[in-house]
Amino acid sequence: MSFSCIFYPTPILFTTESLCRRILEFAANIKATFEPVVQLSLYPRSQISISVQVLQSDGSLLQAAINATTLALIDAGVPMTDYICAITCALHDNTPLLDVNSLEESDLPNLTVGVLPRSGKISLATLETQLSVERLPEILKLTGEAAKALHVEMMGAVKARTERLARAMGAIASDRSGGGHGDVEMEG
Amino acid sequence: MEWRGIEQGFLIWRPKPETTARKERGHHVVQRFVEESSLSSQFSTTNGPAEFEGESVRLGRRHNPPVLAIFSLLFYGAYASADLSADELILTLPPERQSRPELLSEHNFRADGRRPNELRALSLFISPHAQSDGSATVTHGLTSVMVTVHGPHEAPRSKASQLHDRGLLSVQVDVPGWSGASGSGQRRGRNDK
Repeated sequence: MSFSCIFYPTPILFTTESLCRRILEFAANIKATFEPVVQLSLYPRSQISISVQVLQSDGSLLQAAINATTLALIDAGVPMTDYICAITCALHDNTPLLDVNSLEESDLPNLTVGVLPRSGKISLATLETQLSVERLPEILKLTGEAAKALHVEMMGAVKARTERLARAMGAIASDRSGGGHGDVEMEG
Repeated sequence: MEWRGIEQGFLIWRPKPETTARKERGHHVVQRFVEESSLSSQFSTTNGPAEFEGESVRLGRRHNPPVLAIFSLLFYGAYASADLSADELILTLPPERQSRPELLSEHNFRADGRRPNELRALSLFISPHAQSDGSATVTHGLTSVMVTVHGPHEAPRSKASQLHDRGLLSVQVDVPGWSGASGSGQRRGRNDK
């Protein structure tokens, strides 16, 4: 069973149907992005619950949500074939803009691409507005490069986290073998 | 005088009748333009016909000239120039009141000072939420999202939530009203209290 209850300072108001639909679509996008990458066949009859909480929004929300979901799944130890790095790209007079803020997002046609950086495959490409087809290969190439940069950052974060865990576990192990240095604090 | 674009903050008023469909579409665009430039309360008192063509707006005076709108634009510091031979009035808003800011300057800088290919400040924080099995907070500039993962755990035995050959992903999204996500905080139904 899954139960979630989050207390916010103000109640969440799903006042309009369109907002509700947009949130459902957002969730469906995230689900569709991760289904081919997460090795779900290892877990028959079970469920992995992903809960996305938007703390602040200034454009490129799907990008941030997908990147955070990748890291959270890795942190949970769920087996995945690859990272997914998402990046939003907008087009302004033939100039592609990466990682758009809300100002640019509302005015320009934009495309969110979820890239598997090791294989270079694309797991998600969503477009809410119109974009000319001739520009698409160039944008996909650019987002692929940006995703590689993001991949490096994400790998660094995962590595740092794992190193901290390993250090803490090593300290505990040496403690048990007779060191006796007291409690081990894990920062972060 | 040629038509001027919305982006440059021009309103062109020309008393020339046009077809109804275009008129309505144009009126919508004028409304949007005026809403964006914080003139909506003044402008809503008029319902003068307006026409839209390409990127320009012209206000006609076939039925009801939008005199109030013009005066309110002047009140907001617009400077006007009239071409009497063409029988049109061009209103120009000062740059700080124009509807849209420049997204990419001529020196290739974006509105927030980034280059086109530059990403915002990125921070990745793994496991901020110790109670869940896995969690991460990702911040791109002012966009911040926290994701928590629970599981894999046994799926509820109802309906299609159990798959016999593989697991199931369930995604739940919370967008609180204060997060600033477009449409969640500002735009509410008209009858909403």
